[in-house]
Amino acid sequence: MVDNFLQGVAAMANFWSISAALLGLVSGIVIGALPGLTATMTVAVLTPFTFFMAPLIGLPFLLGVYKGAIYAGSIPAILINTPGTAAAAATTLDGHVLAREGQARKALLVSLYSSVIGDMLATIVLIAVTAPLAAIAIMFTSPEFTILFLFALTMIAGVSGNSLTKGLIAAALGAWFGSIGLDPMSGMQRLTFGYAELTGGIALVPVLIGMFALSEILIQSEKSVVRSIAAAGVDDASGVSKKEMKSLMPTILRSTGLGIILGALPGLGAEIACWLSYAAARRHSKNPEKFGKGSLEGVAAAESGNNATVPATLIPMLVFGIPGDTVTAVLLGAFMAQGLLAGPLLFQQHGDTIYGLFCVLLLTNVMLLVFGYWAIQYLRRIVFIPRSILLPCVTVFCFAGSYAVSSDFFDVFVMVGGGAAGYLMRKADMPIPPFVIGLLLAPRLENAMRQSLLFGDGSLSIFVTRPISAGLLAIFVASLGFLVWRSFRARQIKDATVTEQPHDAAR
Amino acid sequence: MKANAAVGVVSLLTGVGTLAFLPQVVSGETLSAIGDPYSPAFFPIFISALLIVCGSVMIVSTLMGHAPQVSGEGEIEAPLRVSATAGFIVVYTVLIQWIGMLIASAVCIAGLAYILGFRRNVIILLAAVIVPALIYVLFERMLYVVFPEPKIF
Repeated sequence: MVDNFLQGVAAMANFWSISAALLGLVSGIVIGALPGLTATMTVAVLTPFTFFMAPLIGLPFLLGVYKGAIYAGSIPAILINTPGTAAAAATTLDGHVLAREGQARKALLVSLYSSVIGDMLATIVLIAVTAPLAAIAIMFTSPEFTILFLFALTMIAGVSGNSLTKGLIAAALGAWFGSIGLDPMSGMQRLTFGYAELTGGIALVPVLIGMFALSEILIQSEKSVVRSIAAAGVDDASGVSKKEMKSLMPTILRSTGLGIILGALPGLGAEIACWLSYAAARRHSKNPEKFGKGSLEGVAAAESGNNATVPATLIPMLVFGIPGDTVTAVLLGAFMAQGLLAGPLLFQQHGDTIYGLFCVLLLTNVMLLVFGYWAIQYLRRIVFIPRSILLPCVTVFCFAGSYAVSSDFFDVFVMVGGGAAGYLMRKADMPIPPFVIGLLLAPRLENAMRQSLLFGDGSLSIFVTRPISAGLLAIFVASLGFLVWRSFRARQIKDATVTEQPHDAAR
Repeated sequence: MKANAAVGVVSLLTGVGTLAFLPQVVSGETLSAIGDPYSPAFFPIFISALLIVCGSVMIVSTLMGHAPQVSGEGEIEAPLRVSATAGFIVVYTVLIQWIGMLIASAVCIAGLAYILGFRRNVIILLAAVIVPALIYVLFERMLYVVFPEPKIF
């Protein structure tokens, strides 16, 4: 591992890789600080640019964007009580209270330090566990991967929205679209409806841009565009003392641990980690009554928790090819476009590139600390760029980026279709992540499933006669059982509430 | 309620439609290919079956009043503005092919900004000039992406 790491350092220690990472980080911070522009949207819109770059230039750029955007979501959360990204929603609770009390700079610094510490520790865990996990995963064959992909899809379907059935429908629809094109075994056309453009399958990146960026533009266009916001200034001289940071360390470490666990599980990203970290910090705090009233612990918990998920979501993506959240789904598309097929063999075939990217992750943390500290004084202006002029500019980039993927105007139609579908899905409360991950995993799931049945002479017993496969199947069935039980339980509680209400009214 | 039912119906129709027209959509394959891993129809049949089961569950639970409430983004807050935005995006898609990416982008930025309520004309003008210019430099000059030739020039 040390050799690989040194090779990685050598691979990325050049001007262009480091510049790309820095440019990505700055872009991520600027865009993430703009309320309404999400981290997924940012990464999706910028992904086509990386197709024209070498892997160790394009991918550091995107990782920088991802990291910067997740951190920067806290800036408007603290200054104007509006999270820049969903991952910073919990930061508003205490961050903005601190800002209103004239301690905006202190809140922003705690957010920065917590983000950097959480991210750095999670990156170290990522580096430590991925290679050993890949060594285990290399023993997996088709039956194990079949169960693993089904498990990941079910988990994502179960936790992404408020209905397991809707999540499963989204995942199945994604897999349906993912099976468009040529059959991988016979080469026969499937679901192409006579369109020659569809024989290569649905282009992934235009769909992602449409679903995450264009649908977001339509959603944002609904919201009130003219509004006056009382923003807190950052000209105050409040800082963070060493003593204060020392007292925050247990909270940061706990939240980082939670963020790593939640990030490594498919479907649970930074959006959930920030709330669970916040809740855990409040439960363990000596001053829980201060939460929601300007607690530094609250800011530190939410920010270290959400940033720790960034490297952690890369664990299932790199080891098994299963994206941990929507941003890594987009990143997986970027990896594939660069010829890097995520999975256990990735470490054998492209070890230097992967360890180079790990070095980039460590380096971008240092960059985030330095740039973030310097930029705090200028960030107040960024959050005030009007959304009503930003969204038209983003729209234009969505179109140009989609066309650039393969210089084919059909991809623009795919992107517009993806945007319309994404908008309608959000309106129907249908989660987008299972759809996207179903679309991404469909070819691999199909291959694994068909190969398993071929090995087993058409018998399903192959899934239970192999020890690893049987173990994974047991976990899959137990998880599915739990998700179904949770759905029934939620329904029972809802029915009980509805039944009690008329009684209350009668009283 | 309507949204849940619609999700169920879309799922059911996609599944049933795929199975009903299987020979047309999967190179002459029929439902007898079910369970045959060599057949190109194996995976579409599996997915269609899943869509039919989930769609049916969704419809039944909606009819029984057990489906989850559609919350959050369920209602359209400003239908006129959303329709105008969506309509303008479609117009932009058509315009790109007729007047080219750069001029169409300038029109798109100005039009969408106006629809979204932005009224500072100087900034709109600057954005409508600078952003297409940036796209030209980034894509055509730096990344060598040639945008589609406009039909009317």
